Amino acid sequence: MSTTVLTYARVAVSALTKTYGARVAVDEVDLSLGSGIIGVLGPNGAGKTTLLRMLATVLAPDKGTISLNGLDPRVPAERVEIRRRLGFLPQSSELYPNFTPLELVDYVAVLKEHTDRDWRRREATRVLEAVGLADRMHQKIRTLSGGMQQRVALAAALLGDPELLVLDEPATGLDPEQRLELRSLLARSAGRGTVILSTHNTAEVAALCQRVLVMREGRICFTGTPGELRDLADGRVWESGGADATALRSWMTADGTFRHIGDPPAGATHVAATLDDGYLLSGAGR
Amino acid sequence: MNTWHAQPADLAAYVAGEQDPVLAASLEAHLVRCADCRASLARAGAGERRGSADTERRWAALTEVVDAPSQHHLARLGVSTRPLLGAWLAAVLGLIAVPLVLTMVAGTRLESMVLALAPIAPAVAVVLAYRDSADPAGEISLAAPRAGLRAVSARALVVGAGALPLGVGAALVAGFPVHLALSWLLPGLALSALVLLAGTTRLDPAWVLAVLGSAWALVVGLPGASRRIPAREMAELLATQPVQLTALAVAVLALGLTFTRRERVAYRRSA
Repeated sequence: MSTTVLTYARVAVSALTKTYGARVAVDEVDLSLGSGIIGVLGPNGAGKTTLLRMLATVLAPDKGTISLNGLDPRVPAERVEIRRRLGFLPQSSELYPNFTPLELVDYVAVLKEHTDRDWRRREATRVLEAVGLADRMHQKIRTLSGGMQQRVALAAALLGDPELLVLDEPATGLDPEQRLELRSLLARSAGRGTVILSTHNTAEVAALCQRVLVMREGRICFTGTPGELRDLADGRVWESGGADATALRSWMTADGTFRHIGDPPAGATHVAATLDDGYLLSGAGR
Repeated sequence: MNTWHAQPADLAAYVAGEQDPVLAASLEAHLVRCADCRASLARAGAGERRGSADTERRWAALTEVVDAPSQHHLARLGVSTRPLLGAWLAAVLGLIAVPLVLTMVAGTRLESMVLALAPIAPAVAVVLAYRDSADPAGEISLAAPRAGLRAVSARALVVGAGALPLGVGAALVAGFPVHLALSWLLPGLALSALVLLAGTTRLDPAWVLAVLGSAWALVVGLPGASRRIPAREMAELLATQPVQLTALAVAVLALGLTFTRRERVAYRRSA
């Protein structure tokens, strides 16, 4: 048992593997995470959701071990204990449309073993206010926009100030203002424990995360700070008037110029690297 | 210069907001001029705040006890919120109504049809309880200590336990022969328990019900419908002790297995 790592990390996984038929969704992943906000970047199908579902104790791995706050989710009693300290926002939250946000959050509070009605009411009101739905808590969920429904699910995840928050694409469906509010909310939550969130958005990672993981084809291909991810592309980003077939990555930007990552094409000028460049390079080999 | 001072009791009543309005106004007029009484008032206020802090501390301790998570609230999960309560009541009423209406519509001449279909009704309720749409919070529930499918199992048990005795009572009140009213119940319980057990495995409870329900309907209903065995004889056969005991044993076994497998259900092996 890998107890050495578990003593120091809030989240530790070792050789974690999950397959669906012949497809390996998560492939021998090792991780050791402390407190703060950790962003998981990666393209669709990279295995982010499968990894997060396993961390949220929703899905059992085929191989490997997970330790959350020193507890093993394979052991039923420890799994229940983990869930007492866990908040989970799934990628697709199919909420009962005839519930109001208050009823939905109250229901989740019951599932989280909170038996006192007054406490549930206070806590549900608190988390709904935290996600900016104080004035909508008595409206049917079916009348809310997609972004608002996402915030209802987020409120349910925040119930009881969990030590570990696992959020699968929490910013999906949110407008720019709501994204800002979400960032502020998560920054506050991170002070109390660990927040792991998946996203496609590097701006989200730059603004929020102390640490970033990049997943591709079921494997972690980068782990470090957002600055370190950006530094991957430092000195390797160029702009020119035409495409470059030899570049690791090359694409046309909005102003019609071409941006390249890799060795400098003829006539290209060097430009400062961004987090996007580092992310793209993390999967292209160095 | 003041020659008198406010009594401590009067100041305490004033701080507590319980002083007579006329006396309170007089006291306030005096306090404006008397530094000694203002100091006494400040001390009385501090005492009040200490009392308040003490009350808050005691209240917080009480809240700690009241709010402590409980381990035993399976039934509460089934009826914790209004929509769930409504669904539960609808399921109970449905379970009572379906066999009753079937029996009344079919009449005693079509007992075989009743025997074939009535036990399937509670199992249908169990299948509905397992549907994803039955859980208001979707996958969020699966990461809660009382995980989603566990809560669904609890709801199904609550519905079944509530509906079966009510169904027997309703059938008896309606004037059906006792052996006919009772003969389908244990097989129905067994069928429901098997469907419940299916939800703890990779099998789809709906498919399990389709297979088991069809088999039941064919074995019990077909002989009567084809007149090879009179329906009344089939009902008598179902009411015999060996058949009833077998159904009871299957039900108990399936429910026991469901209970022992409840943690596996909450930790899914598949997507």
